[in-house]
Amino acid sequence: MLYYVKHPRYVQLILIAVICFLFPSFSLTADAELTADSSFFSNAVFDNDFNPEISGLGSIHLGAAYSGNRNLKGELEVQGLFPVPVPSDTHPYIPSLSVSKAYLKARFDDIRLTAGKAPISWSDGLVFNAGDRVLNTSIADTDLAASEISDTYLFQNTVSWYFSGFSFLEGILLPGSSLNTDSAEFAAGARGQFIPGSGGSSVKLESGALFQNTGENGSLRAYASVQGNLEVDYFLGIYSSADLDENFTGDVYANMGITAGFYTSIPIGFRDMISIRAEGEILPDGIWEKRDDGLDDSFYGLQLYTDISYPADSSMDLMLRSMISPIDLSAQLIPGIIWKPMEGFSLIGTASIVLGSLEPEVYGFSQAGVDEMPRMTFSLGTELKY
Amino acid sequence: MRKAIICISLVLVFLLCISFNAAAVSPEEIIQKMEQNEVHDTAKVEGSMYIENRFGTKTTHFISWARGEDESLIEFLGGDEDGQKILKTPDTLYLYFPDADEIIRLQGAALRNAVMGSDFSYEDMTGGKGLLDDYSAELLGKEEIDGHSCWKIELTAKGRNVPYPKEIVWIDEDEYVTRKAEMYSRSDKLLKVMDVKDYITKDGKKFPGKMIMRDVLKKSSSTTFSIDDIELGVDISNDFFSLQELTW
Repeated sequence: MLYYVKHPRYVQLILIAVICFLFPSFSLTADAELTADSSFFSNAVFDNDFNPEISGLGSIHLGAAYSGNRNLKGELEVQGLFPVPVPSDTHPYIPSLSVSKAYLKARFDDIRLTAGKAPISWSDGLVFNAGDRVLNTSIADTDLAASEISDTYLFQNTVSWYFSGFSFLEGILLPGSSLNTDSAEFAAGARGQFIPGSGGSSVKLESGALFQNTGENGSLRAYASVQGNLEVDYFLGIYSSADLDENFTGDVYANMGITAGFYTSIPIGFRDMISIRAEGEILPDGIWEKRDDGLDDSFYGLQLYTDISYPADSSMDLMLRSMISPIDLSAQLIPGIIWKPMEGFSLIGTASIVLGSLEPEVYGFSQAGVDEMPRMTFSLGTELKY
Repeated sequence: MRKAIICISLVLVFLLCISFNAAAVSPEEIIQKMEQNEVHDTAKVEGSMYIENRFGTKTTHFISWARGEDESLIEFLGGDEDGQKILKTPDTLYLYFPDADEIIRLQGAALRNAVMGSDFSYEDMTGGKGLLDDYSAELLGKEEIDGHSCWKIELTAKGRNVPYPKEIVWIDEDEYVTRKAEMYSRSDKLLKVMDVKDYITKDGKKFPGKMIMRDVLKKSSSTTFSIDDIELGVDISNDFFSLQELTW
């Protein structure tokens, strides 16, 4: 049994075999809906001196989605990225090919099985999410200037049991390649989500834990969160981790973090709505004083994220995203406009404005490794989808 | 002369009967009959939504299941919205985004947001409790809409927890179906107009097959909600309107 836990890929094959055995009529080729779309993105980034960095990127998605049985789902999608020749391309992309989705899902009454590279979403919070900390999906990868914050797909083996229509328990096994670390062989965990009543409750309780094997020892990460509505949608989460060495010396307090946030829409007049999202993360054992000598691997004790968006028109969205570090009084503001004059065609304009320190450690996380940071950049892009 | 008097008397009696008939039907009864006709125990609907603005038309297909007035599940098919779902339970409205495996619960003012840039809000799409639970009705008279004689009824909200403080609806006098509706703000400003252009008859019941909603505050914008197929009395399990189904 332990052998299979340590080798999640075998579990994946077993799960897929079980699904195919229980659904003998399954045939991806016979009942698949084939999809293909391509998009082309050209972008010009202007630095402080208004020197442009021009680049072009094309992407192709080829997919097949199975829909022959209401209790079985499968999806396979391959993504290819290639540079698009644009005049004076100063920043050509490197071509790449990757599997973006590849999973089978099956359900038998209250049991659900998932095997493969599938979307995963633990806990609540767009940028500061306790569940993401446990899954170790890094916010450093988050592109705040993107029109949409990207989704997370991981290779996984998941078994879920819905003990009511709104509550479930779930076990998960992740291969080492799904984890943002080189040292882990695999991770195994569980989580539960509970909404009292029949979905009418305004409170959702969730908790999960993930054991990460790193050879001789391992580490355990866990979180608990609550989400609900008190005039505004809110969430509150807490997470921590401990190394499981022989002496259990893991410092739970040092690794603890608290995430919280709210989301609301405020009417302007009758038709117009302005959406406001604010999130924050507190690290009790983080750094609570401004440091001028760099943060190394540490983080400031408080980080904030805000997102204000306003649909100026049915085809145009205005947004203002900001990452704020109250401790060193620095911030990155990203105002933007996304205009979709027709289906499949978008014009995207964003600016990035840095306030406060110009040191690379500003915000503690997002600019690490950047030697030189302009105070303001502009980006203009077009996206065309077929 | 006598014949003329008899004829006039008969006409008067006939007109009197009509007016008595009109007076005999209260606006509440008209609304109730309309809801009996348009609301079903269970239903499965397949249709399309055409969102028009000055840049063109965007088409989205959908399939929906409903039980009574309080529970419904809509799944959008194809395009950027493929697989997105809206679940309405008696108390809450959930959105599901499959690419992120993410659930968003909509409450309060967020329910007024437009569905995918259309002229329908989430409240419009998912309906709600019986009109008479939230509105008091007053019969304003009769008007002809597209050649059909209709009751014109003003609905005034009893409280603040409704999408529109005032609505005026035109209900077909013969078929007891809605032909037109206007939605107003608290300051009596016209916000939206809905025209029903086509009806589908199924199992002896008649209900809107093609609705055009115009948000009059938007320029050159309209959304056509078209029903292609409907099944009534479909077998829907008790736990169908749940997160378990929403996230599948």
